[in-house]
Amino acid sequence: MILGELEKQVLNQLWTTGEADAKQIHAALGEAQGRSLNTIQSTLDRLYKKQLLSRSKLGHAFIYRPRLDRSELIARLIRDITSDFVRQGSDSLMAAFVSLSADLGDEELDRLEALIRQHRSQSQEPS
Amino acid sequence: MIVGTAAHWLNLLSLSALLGFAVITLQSLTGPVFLRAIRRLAPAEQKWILLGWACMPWALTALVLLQGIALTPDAFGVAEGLLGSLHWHHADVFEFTGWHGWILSTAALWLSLRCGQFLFKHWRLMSQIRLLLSETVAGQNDGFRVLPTREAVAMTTGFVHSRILLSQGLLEQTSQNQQSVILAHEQAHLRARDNLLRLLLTLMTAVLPDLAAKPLISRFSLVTEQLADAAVKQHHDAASIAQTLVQVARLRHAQTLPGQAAFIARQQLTERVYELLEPTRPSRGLQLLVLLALLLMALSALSAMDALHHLFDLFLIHS
Repeated sequence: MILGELEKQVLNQLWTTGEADAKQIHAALGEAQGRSLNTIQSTLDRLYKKQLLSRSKLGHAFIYRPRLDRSELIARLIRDITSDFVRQGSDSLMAAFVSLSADLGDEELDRLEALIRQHRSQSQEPS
Repeated sequence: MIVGTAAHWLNLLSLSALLGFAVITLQSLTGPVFLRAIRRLAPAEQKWILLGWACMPWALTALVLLQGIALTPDAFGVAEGLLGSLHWHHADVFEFTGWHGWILSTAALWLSLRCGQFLFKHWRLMSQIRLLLSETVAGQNDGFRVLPTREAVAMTTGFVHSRILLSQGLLEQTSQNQQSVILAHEQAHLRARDNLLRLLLTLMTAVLPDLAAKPLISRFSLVTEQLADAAVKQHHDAASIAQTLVQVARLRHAQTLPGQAAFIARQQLTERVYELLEPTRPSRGLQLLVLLALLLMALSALSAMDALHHLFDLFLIHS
């Protein structure tokens, strides 16, 4: 998922107000920046198609609400980066403490922990 | 048809491309054996050998180009290079429909395609990272920034001015000692400029087919992680570092959605834990053997170039 500058601003606005229609967002963001109502409407539509907003019709206008909060958006971004890595076959361009695409089962993690315990007890034994 | 200096340059470029194809084919065929052989070397030794392997097609191609610059065809249009690696007739005539033209256009197409793919992936990743960075907040000290999310993540981003990102979820679910291990590991990546090296390696291996490039990049990623783990051993014992690795993997496992992650990094984590507990000893003998094999491969590719040239001349239109 990639977000443009205006998309981020619209999301921020909706996180603050909770819900709004295109005219309200335009009044808050668009007018000061010289953006048209059409630009704001298409930005809201793009965010809706990216499944970041939900909308319901009220009269002739759509009311938009954020589907994710900030924390959930970051989690989704991390998952997107992860799935890109998985597609590419490696964490090629970013160093992560534990590979972002790593997912070991409990059994394997238990086996590694047992190995670490064994190493600890061996190194504590008097030689 | 082009005649004169421009033809000389185009012929030279096509011969470089021919050598490039020869090296890439050799590397694709011998890559699995090479990767298996270097596993027994210490991570620091592996790192530079992997970079050398990735540089090989570019270095040999540059060598041929440099030779060609110094060459002047004689009165009969024959040019002869060092080691007999460059020897071609009609050096001052270039025919687009001849095999020189075909080789050159195929190489240009392949390079454009692979570089285009690389640039697109890089642009996409950087856009995502920029977005991620814009959502971070300052950490307890200048050493890192915090990602306000419940996911357990620690990473180093950026290639020149790199930054360490730790997630709120990770900070809440790990002890002070574990956080110190994680931070020291990420700082080791910063000092070694690992992200920049990974970028260079990915760029250099962009000319290789995916089947040959991916295992190479994956091995390099593992080796840089192992070296960062080893750097943490200056201040923490190996078992604590290994335990932190397993703990963070456990946190990530708990948060992974079903079907979200492929299990490609399973082997990597296991190898890191083993390397921490039982470090590989540097082996001068094996290292020399691998370097000798690389040198032999480079020489084989160089000597094969003239034979390939004549083989093409036998069956295809030259100019």
